[in-house]
Amino acid sequence: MVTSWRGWVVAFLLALDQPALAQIVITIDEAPEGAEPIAIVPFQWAGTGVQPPEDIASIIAADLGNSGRFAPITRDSLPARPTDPSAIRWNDWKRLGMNNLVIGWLRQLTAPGPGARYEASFRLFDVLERVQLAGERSEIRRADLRKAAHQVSDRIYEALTGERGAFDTRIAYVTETSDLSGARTYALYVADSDGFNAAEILHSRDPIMSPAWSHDGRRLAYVSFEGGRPGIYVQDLRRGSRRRVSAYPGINGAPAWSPDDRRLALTLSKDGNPEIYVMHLASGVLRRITDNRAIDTEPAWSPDGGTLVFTSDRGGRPQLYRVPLAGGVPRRITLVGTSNARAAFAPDGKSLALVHEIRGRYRVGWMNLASGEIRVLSRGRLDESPSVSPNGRMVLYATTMGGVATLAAVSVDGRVRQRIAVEQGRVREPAWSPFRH
Amino acid sequence: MPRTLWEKVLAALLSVVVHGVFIGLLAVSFEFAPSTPSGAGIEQPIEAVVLDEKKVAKELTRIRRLEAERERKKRQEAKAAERRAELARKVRKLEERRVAAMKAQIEQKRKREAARSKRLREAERARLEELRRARAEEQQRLAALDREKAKRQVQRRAEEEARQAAARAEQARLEAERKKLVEETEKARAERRAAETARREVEQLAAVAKTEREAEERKRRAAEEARVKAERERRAAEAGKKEAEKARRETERLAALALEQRKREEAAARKATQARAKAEEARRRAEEEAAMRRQVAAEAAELKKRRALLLLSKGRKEYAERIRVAVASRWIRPAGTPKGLRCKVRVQQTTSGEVVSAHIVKTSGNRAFDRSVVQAVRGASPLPRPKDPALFERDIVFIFDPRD
Repeated sequence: MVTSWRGWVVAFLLALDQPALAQIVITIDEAPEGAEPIAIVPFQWAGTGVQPPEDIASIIAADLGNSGRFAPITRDSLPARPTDPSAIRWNDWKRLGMNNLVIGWLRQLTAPGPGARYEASFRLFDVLERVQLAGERSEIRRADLRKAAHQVSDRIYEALTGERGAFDTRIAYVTETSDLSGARTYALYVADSDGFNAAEILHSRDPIMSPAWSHDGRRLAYVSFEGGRPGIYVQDLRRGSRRRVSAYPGINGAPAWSPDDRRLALTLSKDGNPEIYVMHLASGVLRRITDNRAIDTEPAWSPDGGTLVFTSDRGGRPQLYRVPLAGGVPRRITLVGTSNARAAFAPDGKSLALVHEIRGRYRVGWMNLASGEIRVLSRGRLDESPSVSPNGRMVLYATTMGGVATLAAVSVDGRVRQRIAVEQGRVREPAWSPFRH
Repeated sequence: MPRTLWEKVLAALLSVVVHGVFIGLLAVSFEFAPSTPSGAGIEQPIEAVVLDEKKVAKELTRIRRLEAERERKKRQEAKAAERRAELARKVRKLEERRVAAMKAQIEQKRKREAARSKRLREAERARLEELRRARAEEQQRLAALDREKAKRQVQRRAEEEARQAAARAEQARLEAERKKLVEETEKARAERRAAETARREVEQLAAVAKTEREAEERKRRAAEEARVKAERERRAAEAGKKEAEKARRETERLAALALEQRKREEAAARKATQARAKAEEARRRAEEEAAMRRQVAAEAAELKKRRALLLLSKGRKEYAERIRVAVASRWIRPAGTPKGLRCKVRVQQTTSGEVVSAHIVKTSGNRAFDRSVVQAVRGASPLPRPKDPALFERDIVFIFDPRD
């Protein structure tokens, strides 16, 4: 037997030269990140008057654009305005790079007026596959037209990203106005998540603070200084009735609902200095959580109901601490920045929004609980009261723009920031409702 | 009664005279009134009148009351005047205050206006600041992106060069191999030649052995004949012992000769077998060498085919690269998707590059990411065609694996 070393050489060369026999495999490892282009054609209108009562396509475009994940094409750049699937020229849209196309129509069914009824339909197409991804037709009252548009935005968002949209949700906020004599009036409002359709819930000559939505979306807890002292009230939004749940001497503040809405975490100073307590709403029984000479306040429940994160200055400056509800020593979780406060959990419990101070500038940050890393999302000098959207993608907060206290929203990757226009006075303390049930 | 004017005038004159007389009388009477004595010493009698005390007292009290009243009235009037003066002062003060308040209000309004316009101006400034900062940040971001792109280009170029260097090294190695193989073939040829000569030697030896054997054969036959002859002669010359002796000696000599012949034969035979064996050996080696030569030739042919295919695969690599560029330039990783996602797509195309099917073989787990990948591939359709139509591949697998 003669071992041919030349045989080994050839075998080696054979091994190197695979492609001759296998198929082509191409690896793409470069990825510019960007918003997905989408074309939303103005909905066809059939009814009295030249303009429809609401421009549904522009509401959808604003929703999708503000989420930071889509870049709606401007109306002037639309190559065509089809309203029927048969009229779509697929190559025109493909050439523009529009991979997604939304068309629809709005039709009037009864006479115009506040009780008018309309019918609306939309279709979402994938231009490259030439396939409809979502569509629906439904009957709507005049007052629900904007809500219907937000629901369409939610459907489109879900079809394209696989995540639930949070456009058909509400926000609560407090406004302060002063008249000529300098007397101030405070009011608590609930509006659509884009600031429209605001409805007043409460008004008072004394401050209102810290509105908090229950997880079933039916009640608001808030702090009111009526009667000259702070008390925590729970108001049923549908019935309008309310009851005072906490009126201990001293501070009653920062209510936070447990995930099952049966308990409220709150701040009371009745035992000397501000501490965190948990109150069982039905019985009013209190359980004390913190016992420390420092100020402990602003409790936030983790979505699994097992942990409370709160703000405390026991270490000198305000920082965030977490304590298990089963009992234990509070541990500090924020390790960067001059101070940190006002935690608001994301729905998946893995991150939270907070107010992050760096040398006198207070900005909204997004903290990853596992790594401790904080990403700064907002740009102002005094941004406060962050509240997370129910799909965990946007953060609503109070800021000052041009010297005016106003609301703004930013996507959690920091890509898109928008101002939420609210008509009435100085606005603060926003709270984002849960998904509509 | 006076009726005419003249009578009237008369009457009037008469009345005047009468009145004059009376007045004169009065005057006279007055002059007859006693006058006071002017000079000392003349005493006048005190004319005392008796008065009623009560009346006097009443008069006094009345007068005092009147006086008091007058005083009171005076005081009241004085007070009233004071009060009026006070009121007038108050009214004036109120007026002044009202005027001052109005002035203050106007001031306030002016101040508020000034403050508001100042706030608006500041708001404008702040907004412009914001815009400027946003623009600066945008520029920075773009600059950073450009830098990234440049860095990646440099990286890519470096990788290209490395790849080319590797290809060149490959080539060099193949060259060396080829040279070695040429050497091998040369050596093999030389060895073959040696085997040839060995074989020829062997043949020669065999031929020599053969001729020797034939000679031996002939000699053996001659010896046979000689023996037979000797037998005959012996028989014929049984009587003649001398001849017999001679014949015996002859036969002995012949036998000895025959023995020698046989020995020589054996030796020759042995040499022949040895030669045969050597020939066998040589032949076997020659066969082996021939077989190895065949193998080496076959391998050389393989290598030639490999080299041809390598050149072909370069063309394939270029084709794959063009497709990669077409698809990568069409791909945007959707914003908001987590990092570390990876997706495999199998694509089938027609010879004109038209993508007829794009299926996800291995999903990334994120719907938006998967869709973006399929859209990138479909968006790049029709895919670039290869320069050599023989390089066309119907099935292509894409792996989207952003390094982030």
